[in-house]
Amino acid sequence: MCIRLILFILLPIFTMAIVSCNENKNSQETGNVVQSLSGNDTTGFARADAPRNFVFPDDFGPHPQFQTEWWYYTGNLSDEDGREFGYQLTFFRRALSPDKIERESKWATSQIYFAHFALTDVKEGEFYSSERWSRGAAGLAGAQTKPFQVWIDSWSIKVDDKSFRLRAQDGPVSIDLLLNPLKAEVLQGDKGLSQKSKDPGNASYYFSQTRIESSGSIFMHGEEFEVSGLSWLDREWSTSALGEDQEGWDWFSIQLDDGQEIMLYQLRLNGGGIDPFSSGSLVGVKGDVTPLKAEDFKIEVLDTWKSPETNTVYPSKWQISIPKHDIKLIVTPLLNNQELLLSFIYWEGAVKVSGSGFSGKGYVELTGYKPQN
Amino acid sequence: MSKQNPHNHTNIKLKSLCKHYLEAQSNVSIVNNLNAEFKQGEIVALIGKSGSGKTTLLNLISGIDRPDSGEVWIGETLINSLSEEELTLIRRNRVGIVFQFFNLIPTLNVIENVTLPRELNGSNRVVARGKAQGLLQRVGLGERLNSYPDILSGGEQQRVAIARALINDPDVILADEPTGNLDDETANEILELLIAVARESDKTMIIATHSSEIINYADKVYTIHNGNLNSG
Amino acid sequence: MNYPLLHLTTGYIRKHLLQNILLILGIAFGVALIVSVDIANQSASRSFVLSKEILSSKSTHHILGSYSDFDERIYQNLRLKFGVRNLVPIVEDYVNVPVLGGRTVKLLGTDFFADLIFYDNRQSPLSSISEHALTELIAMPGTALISAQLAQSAGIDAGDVVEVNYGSKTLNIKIIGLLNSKSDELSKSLGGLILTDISTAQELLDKVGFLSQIDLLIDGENPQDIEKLNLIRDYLPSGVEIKEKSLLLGSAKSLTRSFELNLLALSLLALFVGVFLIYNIVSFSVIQRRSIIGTLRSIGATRKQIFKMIISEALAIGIVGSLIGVLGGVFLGRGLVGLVTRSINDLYFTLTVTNFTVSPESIIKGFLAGIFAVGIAALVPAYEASRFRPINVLRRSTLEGLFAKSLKLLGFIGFLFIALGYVLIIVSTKSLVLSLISVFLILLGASLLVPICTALLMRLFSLVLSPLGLIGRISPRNIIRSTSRTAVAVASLTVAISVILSVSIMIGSFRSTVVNWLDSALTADIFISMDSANISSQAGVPNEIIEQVTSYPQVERVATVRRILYDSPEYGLFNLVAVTEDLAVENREFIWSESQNNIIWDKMQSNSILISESFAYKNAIEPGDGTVVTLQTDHGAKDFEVAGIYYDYGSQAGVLLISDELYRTLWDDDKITSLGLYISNTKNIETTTELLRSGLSNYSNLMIRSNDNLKRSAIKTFDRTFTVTSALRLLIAIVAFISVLSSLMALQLEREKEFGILRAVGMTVGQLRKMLFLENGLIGLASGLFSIPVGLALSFILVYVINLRSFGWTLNFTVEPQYFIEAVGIALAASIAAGLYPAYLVGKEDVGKLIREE
Repeated sequence: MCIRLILFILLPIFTMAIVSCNENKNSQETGNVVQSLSGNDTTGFARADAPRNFVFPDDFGPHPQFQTEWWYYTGNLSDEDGREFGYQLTFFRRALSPDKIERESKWATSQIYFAHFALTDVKEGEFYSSERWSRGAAGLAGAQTKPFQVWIDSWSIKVDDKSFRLRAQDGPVSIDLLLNPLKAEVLQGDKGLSQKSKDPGNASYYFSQTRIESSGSIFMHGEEFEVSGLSWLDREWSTSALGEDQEGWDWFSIQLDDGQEIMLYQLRLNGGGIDPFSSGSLVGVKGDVTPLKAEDFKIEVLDTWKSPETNTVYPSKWQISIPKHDIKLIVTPLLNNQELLLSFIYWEGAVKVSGSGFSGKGYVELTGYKPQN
Repeated sequence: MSKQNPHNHTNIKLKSLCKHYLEAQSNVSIVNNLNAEFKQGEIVALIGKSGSGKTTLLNLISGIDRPDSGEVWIGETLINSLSEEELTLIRRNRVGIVFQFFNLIPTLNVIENVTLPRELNGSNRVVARGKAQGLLQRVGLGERLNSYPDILSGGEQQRVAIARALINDPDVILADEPTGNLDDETANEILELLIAVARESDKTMIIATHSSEIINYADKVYTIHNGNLNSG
Repeated sequence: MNYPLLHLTTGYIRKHLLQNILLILGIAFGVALIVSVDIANQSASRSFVLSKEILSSKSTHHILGSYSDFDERIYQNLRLKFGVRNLVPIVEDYVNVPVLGGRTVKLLGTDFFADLIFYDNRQSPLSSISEHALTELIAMPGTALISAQLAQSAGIDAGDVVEVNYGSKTLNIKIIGLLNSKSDELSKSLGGLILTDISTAQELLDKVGFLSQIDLLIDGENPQDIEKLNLIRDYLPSGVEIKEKSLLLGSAKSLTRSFELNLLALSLLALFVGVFLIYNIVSFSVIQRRSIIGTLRSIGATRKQIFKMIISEALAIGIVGSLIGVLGGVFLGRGLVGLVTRSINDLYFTLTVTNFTVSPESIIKGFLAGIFAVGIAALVPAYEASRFRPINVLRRSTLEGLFAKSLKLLGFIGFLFIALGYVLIIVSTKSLVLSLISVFLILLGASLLVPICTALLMRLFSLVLSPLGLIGRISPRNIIRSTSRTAVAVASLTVAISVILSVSIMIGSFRSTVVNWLDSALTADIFISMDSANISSQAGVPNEIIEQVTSYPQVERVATVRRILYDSPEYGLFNLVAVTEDLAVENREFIWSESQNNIIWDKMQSNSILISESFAYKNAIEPGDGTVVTLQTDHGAKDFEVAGIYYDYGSQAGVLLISDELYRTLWDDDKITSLGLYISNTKNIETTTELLRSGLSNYSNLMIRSNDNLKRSAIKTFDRTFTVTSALRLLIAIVAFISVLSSLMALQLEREKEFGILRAVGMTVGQLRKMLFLENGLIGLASGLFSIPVGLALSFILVYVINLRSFGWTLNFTVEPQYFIEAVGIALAASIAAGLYPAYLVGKEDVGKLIREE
């Protein structure tokens, strides 16, 4: 998944202080700030410049020597009556400085944590989103390796025996899920090194769990739903500057009913066109991974949806073709309005997949779309 | 300051007296090279129209006003060379003034008004009151010693003023239109009183008036014309 | 008003220009005082809010320790266990900045990520800070932001390291960025702030593990929030409270309320004197024109027209005077704000921001007060003028006669007012406002008694002075004969002088009480404390100093004092003072105590405490055995037996005195505020002080003072806090002076013609001047004499009623002859000064002209 998201998310935290937040956030404005920070000081941080040995479960834990890092869970769930839900729970870590200074105060830190939580109620057509941020200190937020845990306030992902437990609550909405991976970790890109532009080091270490059996409870307005389904995890860490010409990205995670998974992302260039570093992967039923290069797939937009809140026009139906593997899919959002109206506004939502001989579920993330007048 | 020569002695002498007033950018000559002499015991009437200079002349004699040139003698004293302080003393002791508008001090009662010039001299209060009482009796106000001026009639007020003018036994009484503010009957009474008290005490009295009644009483009658005195 | 009347009015004003200029000045001063005091009070309030509410103005509640910082885990638990989100932790204290001339500012550390909650809808002060600087602020120790304004006044640039004094430490703080705010208010409040990350503040202020405050945003209408609030209440340990912000501001504000109310009362007194001035001059102008008014009436002007003419004339002058007064008030307010803020800093709490706010309300209030005063004051004369009948207008004696008849009635009404005022004081047992109202009633009553007293006194003077001759006899008579006007002058001067006198007596009594109290309360020979110019700082004397000090052979023994500002739900804000021995054991003066002084201290070892008079007064604690005070200690609620109530003038908030031993077992606090040293040979106090100073020179900011020295500086602080009162006293004197000057001058100028006649019938200029000055002198003397009983009565009220009700302490009534000399002196000076110009004119105008006037 995409390196820029973290920067885009981090910055609003500061830009909240910079730009009054009840103004409609438009990405133009944010983009300018981003540009002013594209020379962001990364000296002293480790860089993702060569393939590395991944060690599990240790690599679930944080890598503070890198500037940015995230734990990105999405999933499609349903209750016994077939009522469909989508969820997203993401934790981000950002280091302000590579040095760890010994200090007396427990509040002292150079680590900042953010989290996004979203829930899609397909039946009622409702979408909830909320965020948290905190310094990674004084027990308020943090991440640790043994046993693995990442949290902000009461939102958390914890290893619980072999399973992972996800908990988040905001207002009337909460989730409490137990996750059991069905396949081994998938190393994305080149053995886990995912190149984001032609500059060396502009890359991340990236692994996924593409098929996670999930079950637990969703609470909405005092009502509890026993749910089960599949989740997807993306773990990524890096120290990276941005390619200036990249406008945004479209990211797809698809879990086909036949047991295969597809991950694709496409980096959109300013003025149209697709960055050649766009890529993806195809995961076989047994967990075998086939990397996909930009030229291996094609994503066509079939329809658009205009957000009534921000006037942003997002794609809302796609045709994805991977000719080499004879795959042609139609991807449709379960709900058009899955726009996260947070410090950083983007679209991330549950989708269903159909096609010649294929069916399945998935999640799509759309960033960098600008509001239209 | 006592009087040495009581009879037919020249009491007031005016020599080449001049007084101008600046009026609407032109000098108006009110008194112009005026010469005159008034003897003790003489009653002199100054007749003339309003604005002819009667009051000015009286003010020059009393030292209330100063001449532009010329001399004013009261007895042996050339008063126009005196300081303001000395002039005041002359006025207090040797001149008694009776005004057209009575000019009593409203915050003082009748007897206090009368004793005022005497007491200003530092005279004993009891003595001053005795004298004032006598004078007030003489002018017919013996019963109203403690009244305040503003409840007195015009004639009564003028009687008080006459008594006040006499309290220091002055050489000269100057009366400026003393009846100008009174009805005819009262005016006559006051005029007669003035003449009577002047005669009794043998004072020089100069009465400025526009009423011709005075001709019957005065020893000399002058008219002021073009700033000078004409007999008759 | 129709044109001819208007024309007459303007012509009149032109002709009596001086008189009207003085009237305008008098109104202007009165209004200026009202406006400036209002500005000073409001600015002080704003300063308070700005100093307190620096960043989280959206917060609704604060969690605070009752006396000091609290465990930071409370914050963690609230967020993690209770899921409370809208919480901002704050660590703060007051520090002094040498490059700002030792100014006290607040060093405040917060968690910017938590603080963001409060910035949804407003411009953040962080907007001017680069991301790089923000990163450094959070990640690097010893870094801070200050406002651009503060940086400029201190000559600091971003990147500079600034020395800051805190307790005995000198901190080096790197300024990494300058805060700017488009919001005027915010930039003001930032002016007294050093902003750091919360971790930095904990480290710099030695508060690692502790928080000073938690700000919360709770929606009082949201049932979930209310539930959460109750949860928080239940969770908070003993000694930590959650408080509604508005109530919190209110309870601190209530401390300064009396102070501000007293200032307001003083400014109203000035206007009160001003009303006399206006009445005086307006009624004067009516009398001056009685013949014109008579003529107007006889040619057909209606009463209503005359009334309107006089009123509008007064109002026109009132408007001009009030406008000038408002401008002057803003100007004066600027100076006053400084004085008031300093007094608050000395007496109540540290204001890090000196705000100068000119609110439209202050302006409008002052302006309306001026117009209102003029309207009221002109009412009677305007009515009188309208009652003039064409016939009797010329009769001066009629008017005086009427007035003379009403003297007794006025006196009777005055007596009633005084009685009413007295009853009000007795009836209103605690109300400050009512007792201030009774002060006004008594003053008004006294001023109504003045005319009859003046008449009587002048009759006496007339007898006494008659041996001096005519002038000596008629001068008092002249005053009696024109009582309708002289009485007002005497009354206004009396009111002003008695106010001045009573304030002098009050301050003097206060001062001598404090001096006596200092003598009895400060028994140690040498005192060691921190050099902090503010009373809010929590920094204490380093504990290890005790050992060092004890090692000196000259030091016989050491007593420690811990003084904290305690905020309890039951007793509000007060000072909790823990002492290792009663420093005033022998000399302490009690209002009430349950046993002998020497036994009390023993009792205080177990369970007893002492409370100060103001503590008792504030909390209505009556003397008597078995009185109990309950406090939330760090180890739960505890009852303390009150062993005595003692006199104390050190804290308006009240003092609760506890033995150190008891304090340390009940509160987890090991800090020391100051030390008192007893020297074996008291002759060596100064040399030992010097010795200690050099011996302890490695501690910066340590203040080592001898007993004398400390007393002197305490008295200096006392004097400083009364600068405001003294300044107001001076301003009242100025208004009174102008009032007397104008009324007496007008009185004399009106007598031009009389003077002319007197001159004509033989009064010399010298005699006339003598009379004039004698008359004025008698008026001044009368006012001076009247002001003595009135001033004494007022000062009794100030000392025994107002002070007790304002501050909760009893002063020893002390009177010194110089106050009376001063009072009579001012009265004489004002009235004699009023004679100068008329006396000059008398000699200048020629007699002929004076008589001709009519």
